[in-house]
Amino acid sequence: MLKLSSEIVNAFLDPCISVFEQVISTSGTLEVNDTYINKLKVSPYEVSVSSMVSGDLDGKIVLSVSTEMAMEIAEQMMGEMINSLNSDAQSAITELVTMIVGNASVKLSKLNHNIKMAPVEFSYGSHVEIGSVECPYPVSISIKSDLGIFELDLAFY
Amino acid sequence: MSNIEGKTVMIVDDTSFMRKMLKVVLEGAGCTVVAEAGDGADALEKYQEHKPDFVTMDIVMPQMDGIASVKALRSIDPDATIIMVSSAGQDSKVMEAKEAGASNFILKPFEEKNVVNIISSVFS
Repeated sequence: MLKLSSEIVNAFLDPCISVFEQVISTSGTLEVNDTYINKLKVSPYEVSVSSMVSGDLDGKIVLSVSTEMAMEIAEQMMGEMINSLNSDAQSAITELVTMIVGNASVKLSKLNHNIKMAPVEFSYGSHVEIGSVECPYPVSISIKSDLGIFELDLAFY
Repeated sequence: MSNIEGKTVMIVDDTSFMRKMLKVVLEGAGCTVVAEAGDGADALEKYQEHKPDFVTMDIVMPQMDGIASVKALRSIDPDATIIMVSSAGQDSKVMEAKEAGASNFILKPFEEKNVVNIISSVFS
């Protein structure tokens, strides 16, 4: 099993930034705000979209955003105003994370690491668990965009 | 005018957002979306009912994933035209999809013109 390294972190971070910039034109240029070991082990914002992966890496990738930012992302992706995080908005954000993890799997394959992703899950209102007994120290990357700050969490066993 | 104008299509993707996006793009190119499915099992049923000219197929889906769905569709109709639309576009996955019977592969996120160009190339 692979160990979490800067190469692995970048394989997820780079697609996260590029997909975000490509799909959400008003997000501006994204930059890393902070990187840390997530001692809280739960997602920091109320909207969490997670993908389980298996293969050369086993674990979970979580994108966590505030409700306000999630609504702005969904509006940008859908091209229409919304009043709540309805099922269409949830679907748009779910697709964003699918594209990020899918593109990361392409990047990892070029490094000869193969992962398989499971369908992405959307959670709202509760802070989802990121760390676990198998992964006590997940890596969290806080990313700044024109729409606000969000977090990408990587928890591999 | 593209050579896919007038063709019927079934869109298979587990997110309603992506089904809507593809519907807008394909209808803009003159296609008629005759069915949408959220997973492979649903796709099999609707394919037999509607017999579309081509299918766009996601890979990562619950129940039955896109590769298994391509194999199943091709066992029903060996002439089925299926174009993968997925973000999981590593070479091994593209190869696996093509070996299963997919005609081409569109990587997400995509640009509208690329979707139409790639599907048009399948029919040229």
